[in-house]
Amino acid sequence: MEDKLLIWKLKNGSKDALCRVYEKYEGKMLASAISILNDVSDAEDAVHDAFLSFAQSIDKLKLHGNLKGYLTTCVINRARDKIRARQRFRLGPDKSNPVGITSKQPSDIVIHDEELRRLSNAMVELPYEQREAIVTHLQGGMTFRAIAKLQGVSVHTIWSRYRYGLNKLRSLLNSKVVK
Amino acid sequence: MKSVKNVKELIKRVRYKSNDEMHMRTLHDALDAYEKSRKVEWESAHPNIWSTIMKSHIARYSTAAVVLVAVSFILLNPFGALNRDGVALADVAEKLEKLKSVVMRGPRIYTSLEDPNEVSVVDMTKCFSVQYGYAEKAYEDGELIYYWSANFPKKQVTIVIPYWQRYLRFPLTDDQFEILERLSITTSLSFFIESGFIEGCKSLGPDRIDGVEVEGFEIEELTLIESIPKVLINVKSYSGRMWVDAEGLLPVKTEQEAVLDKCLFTGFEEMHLHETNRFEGYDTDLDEEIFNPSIPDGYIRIDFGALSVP
Repeated sequence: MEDKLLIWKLKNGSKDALCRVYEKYEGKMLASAISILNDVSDAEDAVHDAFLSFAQSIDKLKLHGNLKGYLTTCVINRARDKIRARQRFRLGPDKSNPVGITSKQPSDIVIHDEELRRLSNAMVELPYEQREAIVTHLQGGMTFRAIAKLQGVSVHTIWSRYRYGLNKLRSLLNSKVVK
Repeated sequence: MKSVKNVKELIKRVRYKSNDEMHMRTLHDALDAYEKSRKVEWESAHPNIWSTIMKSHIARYSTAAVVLVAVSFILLNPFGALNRDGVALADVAEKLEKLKSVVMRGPRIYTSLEDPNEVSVVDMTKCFSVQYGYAEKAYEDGELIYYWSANFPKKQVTIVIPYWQRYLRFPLTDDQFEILERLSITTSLSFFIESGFIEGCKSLGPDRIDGVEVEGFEIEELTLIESIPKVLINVKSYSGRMWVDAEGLLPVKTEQEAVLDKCLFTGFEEMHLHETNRFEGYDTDLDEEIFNPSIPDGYIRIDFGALSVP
């Protein structure tokens, strides 16, 4: 219910409400972006762009689901754009300077929890669609039906991606391959 | 060995924190973008409403009536309240949002600050319908002094003054209607919710009204009307109190007090205004006629030229 009030306040011009939304969901948004991109700099950029876009379009905002899911979707859309941009760059004429997942890795951030570092590295091993299904559902709190509607695929497809992804993730985390 | 459940829990609890520089940059850029978008939105949606209205000789007078509507909603419309511990503001807000109609009654007392013996007590009956609009009747010593309505579907205001046997009926321009809508149930609700979170909001604690367990709240700011020219309504100080049914989560009683400086609303006198409202009906069937009153035979239309706005 707090989110509903925050949206109300945002629509009435409250900057404090915007700060509150950011403080409340920054961690989740960043986690989603890192899970998708496995690159802290790119993830921070995705969160920056997504939140900026959110701040600009509050007057037009019509929230049908929850705010966390909405923000996660915004971040994932930005992250997807970044992945596409990486791919385009790799296929471009100048192949001598490929840009991969470089710069800072999540391990650059102070993550004391070894488990989280392993999780982050395991996530990147998953096919993109599976990663997205897992992140949107578990970190964004969106239902499979909502994710399916958003992505224009069947609920069954989303569920399969989620299930296969989760099983693979479990295998990866239980193996010693993922450092 | 991790199970799928362990993995799910691990993913759910993942949190990262941007470095401070990035955190501040994102927040700063977002606030900047938010502010700019608000400005653009306001300017495009409200191309100087007041200047547009005041250019029209006739519209000026209808504006005065609209302001009365506005004031009625703001000062007298008691939607919303807060409490983070007991009665939850959000729950009250949610219930109010679903209402189709509200009827409330109570005395409005005007006291001149220049002459405290000059007191006027008017018994008010107010009806609000999401479908039809807003209507108000005022009685003094049992005699009907005036009644007026803002009919939303017809975008029309009707004011009838039996004492003078005069009436006024005029259409609302889109701009005026927009103001009315902005000051109607939803916005008033938003306003009180907004107010509910300001520092000055106080909880008055639990109480009992007519055997009903209630919880009281008080606000002391009236920011919503800041944009209205002071010549029309000039509130020097304000306090509003509301008591909400602790179980039903709907307002039971409200009380408003305001000191008004010289302005059109007070007939250019300094005045103290006190009003109490008791809620007599939620979601009752209200006759459409209330919001579209007929004009009694023999009543004369008020001549706009006879009125003036300084």
